[in-house]
Amino acid sequence: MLAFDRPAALALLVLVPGLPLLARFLRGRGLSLPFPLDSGGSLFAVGVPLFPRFLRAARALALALGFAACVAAAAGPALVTRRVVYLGRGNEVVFVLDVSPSMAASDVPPSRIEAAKAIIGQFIAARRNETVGLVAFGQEAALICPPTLDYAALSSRLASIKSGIFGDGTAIGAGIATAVAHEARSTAPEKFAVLLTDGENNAGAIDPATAADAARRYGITLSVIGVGTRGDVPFDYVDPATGERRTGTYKSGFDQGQLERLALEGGGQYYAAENKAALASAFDSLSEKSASLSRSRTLSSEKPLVAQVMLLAFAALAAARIFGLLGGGGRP
Amino acid sequence: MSFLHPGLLALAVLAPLELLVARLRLGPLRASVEALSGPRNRGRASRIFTTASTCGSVSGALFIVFAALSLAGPSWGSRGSTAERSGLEAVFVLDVSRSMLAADVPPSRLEAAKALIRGLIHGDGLRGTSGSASFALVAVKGDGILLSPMTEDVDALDGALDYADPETMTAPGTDLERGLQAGLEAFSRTSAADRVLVLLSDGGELSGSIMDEVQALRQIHVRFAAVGFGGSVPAPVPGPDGSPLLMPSGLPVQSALESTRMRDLASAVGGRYLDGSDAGTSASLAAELAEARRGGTKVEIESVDRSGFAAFLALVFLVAALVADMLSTSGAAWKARREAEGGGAS
Repeated sequence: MLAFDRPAALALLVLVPGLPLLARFLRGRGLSLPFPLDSGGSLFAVGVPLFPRFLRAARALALALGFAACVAAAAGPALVTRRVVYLGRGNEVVFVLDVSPSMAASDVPPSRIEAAKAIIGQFIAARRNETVGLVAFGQEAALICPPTLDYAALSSRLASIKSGIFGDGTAIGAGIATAVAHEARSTAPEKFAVLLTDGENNAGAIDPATAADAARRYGITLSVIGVGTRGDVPFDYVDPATGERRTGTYKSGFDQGQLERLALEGGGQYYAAENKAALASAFDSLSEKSASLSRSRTLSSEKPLVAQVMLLAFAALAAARIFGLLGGGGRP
Repeated sequence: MSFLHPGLLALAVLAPLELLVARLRLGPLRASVEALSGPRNRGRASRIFTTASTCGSVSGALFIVFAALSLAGPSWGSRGSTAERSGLEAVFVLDVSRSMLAADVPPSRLEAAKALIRGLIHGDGLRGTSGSASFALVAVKGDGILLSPMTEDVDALDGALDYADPETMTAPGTDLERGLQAGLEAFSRTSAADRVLVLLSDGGELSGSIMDEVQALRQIHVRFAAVGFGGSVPAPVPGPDGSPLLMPSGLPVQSALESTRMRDLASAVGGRYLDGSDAGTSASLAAELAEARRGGTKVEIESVDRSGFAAFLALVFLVAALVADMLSTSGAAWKARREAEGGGAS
């Protein structure tokens, strides 16, 4: 929003059309005062050389623009922006995303992993004051983004994730443990870890139940989303290490009981997401639970535009001066 | 008084040029006015013309001076405003250019800078103060990239520090402007935290005007500290294989700390310059971070931008120049005509 420090100064803008009108009024009464803002007659007057008349008109136009810009600059223009800031620390959510090759299955279109990434992206877009982080796991687990309010950085790192980047395996315990390690010292009032997986724990040295127990001990609520359907599911996967493409069907199945026990152990809830609608519904529920309540206030900040407007005035008046020297009238 | 864009003050040199042009045009124009006025009023018309024209020239020149002043962004005096702050957000902008591998600060400038950051995020300095403390890490070389977003997770930041070296990015040089730009973007938009930006470098170049970043840092009340690493005596810069980097002439590439540029930058932002090899630097920075972390209502002092005031004076002289121009070109002739018609205007 544009605002002025001294809006009263804008009243001088009336001189831009006012002076030429006064000049015409006086001219009609036989008085001739060549007001600088007046072009001195029509550009297309018959019998008068075009170039001098063009210069006069151009000078008057540049002068009017320069004068108006100078008035606007003197009025102190500024761009005012408002933003909401939160005075308290929001809650914290860390997603623990399975990136094993089976997440390339397309029973949840376009694929389990892309559907999960899309819904996490929507979740991030709806956050205001909650720190969100991301852990990915396959054969190994790694922190992709620490819990942060920098949603742009998080989204960019989320976008870079592909199935298979951490090998052919599902180290659920290592994934949860990584999230716990990075949330343990957080000062967030409430901490959540959300595991998204389509498989059974078959890699890593950490037992998922032990990791879920650790989560609870550090005050982290662990929820679990089982992604995908069971049975034969279409599969299209490009191995990021070798570039080899594998397509066909894959016999999908996971131990729902184990995942439900994990959620129970972690103090959270289990959601079965066999399709996109179920996945969205699970996230709606998580979104509601993880939303923070904290005091906020609106801050206004001003970015002065005086220099930019004065630059326009300076350029226009310099042009007017040059037109004047070329034969279009006097100063400036 | 300080200026945001001091280079634009150079536009004021157009003022004497304007006076010179006006002086050169005065003679021929005055002759025309005298010819139009007739023998009886020649002297008076000439005086009116000369006076108005001179006033117009001087006003025009003063307009240029104040317009240039306004463009340069002058500020003087200060005013305080209160703001409720909660917690700390600190961004470390770490120079990872090859010159930071020079070993004049053992084991190297870069490792000394990393040790300083690690000491600050893990050390005792921040203990005993309440409120959250988040940190971000930006690596700067020929560009600025975010290595770790703003986070309370100091282990993640520590891990990101491991990857901060000259191979992090290919862009050569040290573009401090890009680093500050990336550093500014690392601050959260929705946080009411007190903000600190620490630049750790041995100096560098500016790709353009750094003043936009300086203005932005001032506007959002960022506490700024520039920490210089390196000695005043040029030290050899190691190449990728550890042997001294050589110029095409065969001479070794050497680098010394460019503290003047960093001091100037710190001064422009209203921050301070610290020597990285000084034993007290870490404690001083830790104290600043701890102070920033303490929440509550704080008084923030900012210098007052006076470009609007200069623009107002420019407008006054512009109006004066326009009025003088009007009078000088026709006032004398008008007066002469009124007198010839017996109007008796004086």
